[in-house]
Amino acid sequence: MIGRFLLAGLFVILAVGCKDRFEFVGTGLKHNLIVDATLSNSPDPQYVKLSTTGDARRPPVPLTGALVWITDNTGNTEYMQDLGDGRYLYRRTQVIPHVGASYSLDIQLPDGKHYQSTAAEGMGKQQAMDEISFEIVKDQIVSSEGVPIDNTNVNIYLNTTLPKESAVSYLRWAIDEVYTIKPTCAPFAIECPPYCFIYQDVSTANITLVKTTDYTQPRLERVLLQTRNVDYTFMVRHFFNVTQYAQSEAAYQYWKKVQLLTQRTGSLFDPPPALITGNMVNINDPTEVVYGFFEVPAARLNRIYIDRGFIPVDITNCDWSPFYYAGNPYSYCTNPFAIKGSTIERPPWFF
Amino acid sequence: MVGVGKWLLAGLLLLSTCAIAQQNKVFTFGDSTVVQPANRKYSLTGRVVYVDGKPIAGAALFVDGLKYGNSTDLSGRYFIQLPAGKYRLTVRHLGMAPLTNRLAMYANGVINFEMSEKPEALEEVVIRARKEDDNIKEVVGGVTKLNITEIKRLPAFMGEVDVIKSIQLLPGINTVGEGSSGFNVRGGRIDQNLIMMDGGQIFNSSHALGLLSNYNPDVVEEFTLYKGNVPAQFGGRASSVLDVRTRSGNFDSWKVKGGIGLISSRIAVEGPIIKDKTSLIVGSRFSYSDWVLKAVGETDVRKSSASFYDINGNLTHKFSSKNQIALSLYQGNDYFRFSDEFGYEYTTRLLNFKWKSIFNDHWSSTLTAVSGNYESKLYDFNQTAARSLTNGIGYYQFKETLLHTIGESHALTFGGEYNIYNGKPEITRPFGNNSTTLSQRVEKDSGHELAFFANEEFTLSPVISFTAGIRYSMYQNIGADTVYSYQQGQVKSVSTLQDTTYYGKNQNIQTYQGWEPRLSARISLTADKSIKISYNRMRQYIQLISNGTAPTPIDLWQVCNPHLQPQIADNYAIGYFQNARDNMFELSGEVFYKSTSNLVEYKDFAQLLLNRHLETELLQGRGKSYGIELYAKKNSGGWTGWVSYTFLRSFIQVNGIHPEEQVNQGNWYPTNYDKPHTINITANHKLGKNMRFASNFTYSTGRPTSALESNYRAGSVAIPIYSERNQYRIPDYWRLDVSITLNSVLKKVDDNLTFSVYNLLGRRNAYSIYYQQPAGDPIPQGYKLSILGSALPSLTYNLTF
Repeated sequence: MIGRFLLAGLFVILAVGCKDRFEFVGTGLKHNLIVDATLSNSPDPQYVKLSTTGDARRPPVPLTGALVWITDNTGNTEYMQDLGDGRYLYRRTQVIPHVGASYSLDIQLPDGKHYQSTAAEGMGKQQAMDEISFEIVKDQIVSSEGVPIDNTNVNIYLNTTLPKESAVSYLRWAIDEVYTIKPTCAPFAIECPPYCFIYQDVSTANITLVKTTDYTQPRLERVLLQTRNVDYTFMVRHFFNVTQYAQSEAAYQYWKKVQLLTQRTGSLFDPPPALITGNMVNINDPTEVVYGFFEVPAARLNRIYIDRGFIPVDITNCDWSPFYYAGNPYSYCTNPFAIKGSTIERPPWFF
Repeated sequence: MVGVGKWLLAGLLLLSTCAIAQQNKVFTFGDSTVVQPANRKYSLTGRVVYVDGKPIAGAALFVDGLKYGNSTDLSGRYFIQLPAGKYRLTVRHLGMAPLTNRLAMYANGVINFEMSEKPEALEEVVIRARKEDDNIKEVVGGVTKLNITEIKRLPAFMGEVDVIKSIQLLPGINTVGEGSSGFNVRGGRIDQNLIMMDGGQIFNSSHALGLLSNYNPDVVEEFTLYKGNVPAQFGGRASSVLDVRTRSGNFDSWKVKGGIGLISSRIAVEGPIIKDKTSLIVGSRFSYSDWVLKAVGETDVRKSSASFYDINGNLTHKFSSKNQIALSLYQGNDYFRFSDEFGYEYTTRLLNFKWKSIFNDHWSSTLTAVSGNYESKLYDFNQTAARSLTNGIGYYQFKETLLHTIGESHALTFGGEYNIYNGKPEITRPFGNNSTTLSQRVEKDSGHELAFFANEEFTLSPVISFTAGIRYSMYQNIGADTVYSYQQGQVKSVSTLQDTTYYGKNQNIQTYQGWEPRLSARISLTADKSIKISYNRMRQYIQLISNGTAPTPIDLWQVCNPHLQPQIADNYAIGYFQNARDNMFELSGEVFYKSTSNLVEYKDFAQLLLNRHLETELLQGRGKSYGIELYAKKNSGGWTGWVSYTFLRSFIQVNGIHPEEQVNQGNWYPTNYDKPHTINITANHKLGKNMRFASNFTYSTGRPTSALESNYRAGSVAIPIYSERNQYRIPDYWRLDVSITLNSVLKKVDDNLTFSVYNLLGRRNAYSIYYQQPAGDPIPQGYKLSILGSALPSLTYNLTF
């Protein structure tokens, strides 16, 4: 945080700083297991995602064929379904996440290696009451050529009432966005593709964490969750999903480290980066580095939408519009080379 | 005894014939018509002083024809023996107009010289910090003395002449990057430099986050950097000493000096309160950069504010030519606010009392009492999280230094020093009515340090000279304080906390002490060649707790305590020095090695602020650095300047018992300031009668950093996987600066106009490499950040009247 402050200070004082894309990656690649397992009580499908680390400029390599199971404190066990793409579906039929219970996760790889969570994970008992709002903000930024450009952003704010109990609660808010676009159809096309629904993670710059005992009052106002630049994605309806997780102290500490690591701004005042290891361990070789974290938080979702009617600027002349010219119109939206994170399946809540 | 007799004779002569020398006079002692005995020599003695009567130490006297010279001692006295005859005698000192007079020596004589500042426009460019062959004859190696006149000739960043930036052009000195405060000496940390102003310690020597230093060039007289062997009268830091001296005001007449720049200006007023008795100088610098910020297109920048100021004052009273007191004051402040988001402010205050006495020709004393204070405040204006965080340190220092000289062959410096450090509590408070953050207060440690020292400089023969020093320092961590103890053999953490002990006010908690030998020798191979060897040990009882690559203003100064042991450094150096063509050229090469124990490092994701259990985040390891410094300087002629090359390696090892107490698995790894190759070239050239051109070129290997090796995702967040600490390097750095100074812009006024361009070629040097996840892209992207991404011109007008 201080590093970001001071770096901004230097930029302001000099007003001649610049930031360029730079390909600079290390060569010490190792193939370590990654476990992404946030299994909550959210109505959305829950997955354990397994992969191994890959090249710095590529996503991790999905890992299939593993045996994954969750066990609760009463001894109930549920095996997860291997979907064949690195995801393991948690159906919540035998082991159902609820407040007061604790859970552990086991993973057995095809080569026989057995990994287990180091400590039982459970839900935070208390959640905050959230209200989500947005604000359209117009300002000016300076282009890389030094030209001032009018800029319009959507700021997503959180107003929340923290639990009144004196016991500490650890809360985290995550945000993602879903919007839709209709590809432009060529005049000669027999059939035009349907709407694409695009799921997009927003920048990781804002990971919002709260430890309730750090605050004197139960009400937090106008906590900025996200700033999103207005572009063509606001032509039609644009949803922001804000999920509040009530998590364990261990999970809070893990996300605190993630926050520190992902909010680095290149300042000389930033603390040095470091490895974040989670709570999964190879039971035969505890020195093996395993990335990721297994947690079972309580989830509470809030959703808001914005469409072009809220935007006080003209966004019809956008500089990008997907253009469909031929082929199977129904596979167009699912082509990852055309639109990342796209599907033609309308989310049930999308209206 | 010969030396004693010589100085007794000099004393007698001072009481008899005496003349004040000016330029181009003829002094005749005795009668030239009297037949002189063969080999008969006559003594010429006297003092060299500034116009305000202050003695000039190290002024060089040369007798033309004989190629013979000498230099003045600390009280400005000199002594020369000459055969009967006629001579031309020239007195030189850096920044002063040389004095040349003719002598007819047929009897003993006394001449006192009064030197005045050199009118720059009339002089050829001469860069000479000391007596011309001091680099050969001085016993101690690794000493750099620069005069403010000398650094004024270097291209200035934002038009501001800067002591620290000038130092960074010398061999063995580097910095981790632009906009980082302080400097690293021979692979040492920033907090291992004892940075002083008139004997008082400065804990943050920077303005504008390190872009400028807090030394006002209008009031600085000279500075000395000890980077090799540090004399025993200095201590408390493990790497180097930067001793900056401000000057007294003019004892004769009132003067005003100033400079106007685009973002800052400065003014200094000086003159006699009582003529020839009491003088005053007050200097100030202040910035007004907000108009630049308001002109920037970006909304957040327009809503920001940045400013700094500093004030220096010095009141000097001379009771007699042998007794004077001085009271000096310094206050510097920086303020910065970024939009509605955050701000910071830091302030340094220094009050210094000094009493100098010369008891007789052999004994003199300097008594110093200092009160220093550093405070830093960070503001977060972020709605419900709005808060302020303050911390700092205060200290008192008392020091008595006695000097005993016997001729030119012995100089004994000895005395004592007592420092009291009081860490200011860290306090965070809610800021504004909407804030919901908690107030917190974390007390910081206090301690006191007592040291005795003695340093003897003696000449064994014309070939061999020694400096032998010893310092004994004792430090005590004192209450009131609460000390935590942890389970034996376990990693220190809150979960292994075992016991809590409370100590009352001034109660001794922990004592550290030890000897600090300082040795150096000079072997003269010829009159213009010498070899110097040195060893010294230094102990450091106060550290800057800083987890970044560069320190921040809010970083803690932490004194040693039961969990934090003092750093102990052993420095070794050997060097070869040679001058050529009548001291026009200086050449040197030095090899150094340094080992340090108890270097402070940090656990991953260390929480250093507002932490009552700070020791659970700290690690201590050992360091080593070694290298070679090559230096070639041209002192006079049409072109002057220097070329320096430094080969430097600097490593640290943190190898605790438990994996949590290790960094990079306990292996040696490069420090942030490990830069194998650094080249600096500075050049000055006089263009016509009133114009001067200056430039400098800097190249250095990129500093170590950690690089992205892979990545993974947790939910929607892409998490970078980094290499072990400092296993890669950012791109190499190089920069070219130029300046042109036009003297006598207005007729009959002592003024000049300087146009300088910093980073002339607009090179986007990497300040850092970092990674962020772009919106919509699951893979972290690398970015190169440049603080100075283009050429930075500036214009400054300086005036003296």
